[in-house]
Amino acid sequence: MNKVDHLAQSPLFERLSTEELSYISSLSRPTHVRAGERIFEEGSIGDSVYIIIKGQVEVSRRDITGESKRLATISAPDFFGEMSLIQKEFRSASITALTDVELLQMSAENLVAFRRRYRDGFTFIVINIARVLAARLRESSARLAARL
Amino acid sequence: MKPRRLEELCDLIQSHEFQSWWTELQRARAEEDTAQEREDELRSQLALVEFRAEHTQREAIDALSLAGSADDDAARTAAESNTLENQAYVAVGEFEEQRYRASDAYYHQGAAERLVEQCNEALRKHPGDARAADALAQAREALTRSSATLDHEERRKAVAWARVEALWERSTAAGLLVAEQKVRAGRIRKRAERMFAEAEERKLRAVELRSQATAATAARRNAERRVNGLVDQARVRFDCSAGSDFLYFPQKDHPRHAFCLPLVEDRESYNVEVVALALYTVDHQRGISFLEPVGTGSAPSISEGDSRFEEFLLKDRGDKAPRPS
Repeated sequence: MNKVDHLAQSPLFERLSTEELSYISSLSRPTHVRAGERIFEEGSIGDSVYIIIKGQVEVSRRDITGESKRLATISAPDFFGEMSLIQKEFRSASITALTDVELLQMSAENLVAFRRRYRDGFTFIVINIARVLAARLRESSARLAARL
Repeated sequence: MKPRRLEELCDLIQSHEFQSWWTELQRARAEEDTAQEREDELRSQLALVEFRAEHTQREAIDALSLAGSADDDAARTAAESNTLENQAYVAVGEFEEQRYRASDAYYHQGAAERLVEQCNEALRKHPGDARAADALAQAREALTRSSATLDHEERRKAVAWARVEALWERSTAAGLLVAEQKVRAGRIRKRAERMFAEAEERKLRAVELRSQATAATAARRNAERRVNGLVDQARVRFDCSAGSDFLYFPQKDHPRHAFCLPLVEDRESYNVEVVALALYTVDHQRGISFLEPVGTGSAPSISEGDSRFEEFLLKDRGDKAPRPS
């Protein structure tokens, strides 16, 4: 599969046209991370979203005592890093490769370049991020309701 | 430099002139890479051979010094062996003297025994003879003294012989060790000589490699010059400015932007995965620190038929039943 095919499977780029996917593919940068390597650290500054092409990563966060707790495991074709892209805050969690991982990295500046050419495509990317965040919020609310 | 439109640049890239220049540049770059690899390989071999030559020479010097020590050990042991042998000769002389003393004591004891027998005989013939009885008592005392002397001398003789044997044993052991130490010294010396020869061979190989590496450097520089020459040609032939990895063409309708044409592939160093001969836009301030791919298409308008928002936001809402409370 080429980059465009991989991106077409990602929920981040749902509803994008082939032309938009082709352009966004030229804006993405492939990255290889070895199993066990940290992709980014909680508290660091980030401006990129990562799309998983192959492999699995762990999302973890330190609790009050400073101990790292696993929050989730995600794999292709999911994406991560979108929160600090939108919110411009420090990274809320750490991401570590559980296996050898192939990623496509897309910086905020590259997304702006995409927006200059494909405004509707860009809007869909934002909608897709919002949908994923909304789904996560629903899941968290359900969990919280179950505990109350 | 004449500013260009995208279409003009695409035509230029497709032109026979540009394509033949590009083929030539790729060939020159491949030659440069090969020359660089050969130079690196030779320099690495040279460093290794020089290091090994030096290391072998140091080892050879150490081995030679060790051989000298082994020779010294052999000489010391030989001297010790001679001393022991001389001491053994002296000890044999002392043993011989002791053997005479023990023999003498033995004869004295025999004579004392015979005297006791004679006194016994005399007393048997003249029982009650006080003088005969007294002579027998004295003869018996003399026999006791002679026996004690004989025992003492025999013990001393045994001790003297044991010393002779011990000295012979030590002298023999030292003599055997001398031979072994001499052989060891010889073996180490031969090893040192072999290593000196190896070090010399490696030095010669290093000289040969240095000459090959110098030639490889010259070949690499030639290839570099050829690549640089081709890039310089591009400036004139295609009316552009050129770095080592990119050609730049001013944009017709955007004076602060330029088209940028990579001459290399690179997936790590830039904000995007750089593909050779793919077109990018750069602004004059940031240059290649931000590359924006040049796409040929644009999004269709609603009038052209893009109804994705309508489909996404409006479709399938009315059909849903209310959520049970």
